[in-house]
Amino acid sequence: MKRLSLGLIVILANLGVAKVSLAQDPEAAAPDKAGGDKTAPVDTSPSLELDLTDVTGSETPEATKKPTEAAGAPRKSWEDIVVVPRKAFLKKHRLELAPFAGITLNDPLIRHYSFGGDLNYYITDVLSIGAEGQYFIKELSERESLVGLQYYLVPTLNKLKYHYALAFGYVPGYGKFGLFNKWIVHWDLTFALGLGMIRTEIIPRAFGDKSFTNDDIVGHVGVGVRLFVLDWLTLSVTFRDYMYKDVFEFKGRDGLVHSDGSSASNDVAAVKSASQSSQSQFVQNIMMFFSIGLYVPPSFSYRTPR
Amino acid sequence: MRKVIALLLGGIVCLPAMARAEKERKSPLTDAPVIRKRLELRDKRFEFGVGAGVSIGQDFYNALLVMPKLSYHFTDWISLAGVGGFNMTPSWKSSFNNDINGALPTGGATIKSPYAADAQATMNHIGYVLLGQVEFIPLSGKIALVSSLFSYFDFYVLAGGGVVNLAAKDAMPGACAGSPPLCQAFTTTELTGNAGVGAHAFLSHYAALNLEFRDLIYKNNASGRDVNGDSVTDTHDLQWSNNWIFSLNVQFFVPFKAKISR
Repeated sequence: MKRLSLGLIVILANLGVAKVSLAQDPEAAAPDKAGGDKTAPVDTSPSLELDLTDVTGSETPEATKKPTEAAGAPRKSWEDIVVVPRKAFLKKHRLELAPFAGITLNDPLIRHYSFGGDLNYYITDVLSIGAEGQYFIKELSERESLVGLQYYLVPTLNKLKYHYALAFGYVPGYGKFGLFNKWIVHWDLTFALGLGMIRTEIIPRAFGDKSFTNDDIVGHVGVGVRLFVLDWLTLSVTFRDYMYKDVFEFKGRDGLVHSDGSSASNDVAAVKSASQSSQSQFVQNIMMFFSIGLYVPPSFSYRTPR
Repeated sequence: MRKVIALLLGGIVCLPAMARAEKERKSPLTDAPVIRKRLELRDKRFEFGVGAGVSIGQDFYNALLVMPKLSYHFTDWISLAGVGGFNMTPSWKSSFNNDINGALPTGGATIKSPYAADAQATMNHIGYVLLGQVEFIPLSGKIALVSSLFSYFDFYVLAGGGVVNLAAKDAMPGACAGSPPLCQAFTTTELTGNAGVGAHAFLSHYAALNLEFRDLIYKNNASGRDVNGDSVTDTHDLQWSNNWIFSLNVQFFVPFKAKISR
């Protein structure tokens, strides 16, 4: 009988322990859920990330009063938990490899598709230095094909071959969005400045004429938006304006002659020389890129206390 | 035997309690919104303002437009807007137009190429646009600029329709005469599709910069010349065209005070 009584006491004690655990568990679980990532602590210290105290609406006093009123009372719901997540993604001393695809936007006659990549090293979290390279594939537009039909003219066009550059990056801003107020999306704004070389090639107006290439010094500026997906993965949309002085096919190529009177229309050196002296033109190519950023090392750790 | 009975009894009593405990083990954050005390900067508010838009990639004439906009936000994430665009620069030629103009003869004998003046006359440009659009705003949040300036932001997609007025210098110059005409400017008020993306950058609770990038999709024959090779210019020469417009507005919201979410 004693044993039976002892057994029942143990059972009741167990039940009591189970209820106490049940009451404590949600609080213990709160940081995991609230932070949304491995770095999210429960914190009430002021932070630029939260910055909800600048809300100056009429409801502010009520909002600030609430925690005081709730002090000492058992926590009941998400309304009683304050969460300040840290910056979601750190780039300092990390290498970014970003393959991209792009398209030219501002030429109605010829469109170029571009495939290439960026390689950037982040000196700080907002400054990077890197290199970019891309290869172009041309496509003549329908407008180009209509020039002949409608005006009996043949447009003078150059196609892009490839481009490489050194580039500096700066991140002037970062932010976060609530997606349907259910998920947080972290993103930043990127600026780029670069200097490099672009190779272009003339598209001869007359079928069968030889072409020549140009190696032009090109500067570019860019602006973009980057979304952080994982600790090592980002998605970006970037617009870049490439500016350079290019040489187009000499308009008087058919009548070009050597000093001895022979035709020079298929002497590439002579055509190029004549083109350089009379057909140089400042060009702006505005391009849009989509890229995927892969980061090495694939993870990062915070160095400052919470 | 009694020991066994006691353990069995204990098990039977404990099981439902454990099951209930598991069931009730639910984080208080389970149904929490991702952002609390959020400024609902759009919900049930009117938005009005004006700005400038510029066309991108037009064949013959670029357009700088004055663009008033009025919208009503039914919720924080959906709104209905009306947008106008009035071209202030009907003579702003594209570089391609200048190239064509420079290459065509201005007088004298010409076998097939039109005279520059005739070619110019039938090239059309945007006169005005009147658009309606639904805006869907899935993303809203904050941005820190150079770690010191903070702004509320939202991104949205827009879709709708409207009309676009197309104008030209001379719809039917003498050189185009014929039945049907050899060339004629496509000047009309045409239905257009309207799709794009936009963003608000809030300067305060009641004022914001509003960027929009839209594509107006309509049938056009921008050159006013034969397209399909039948040597005449008629409705068979119309083609669907994409007409990109980038705009920047300053918008104001009423009521001036924004609500704050739970």
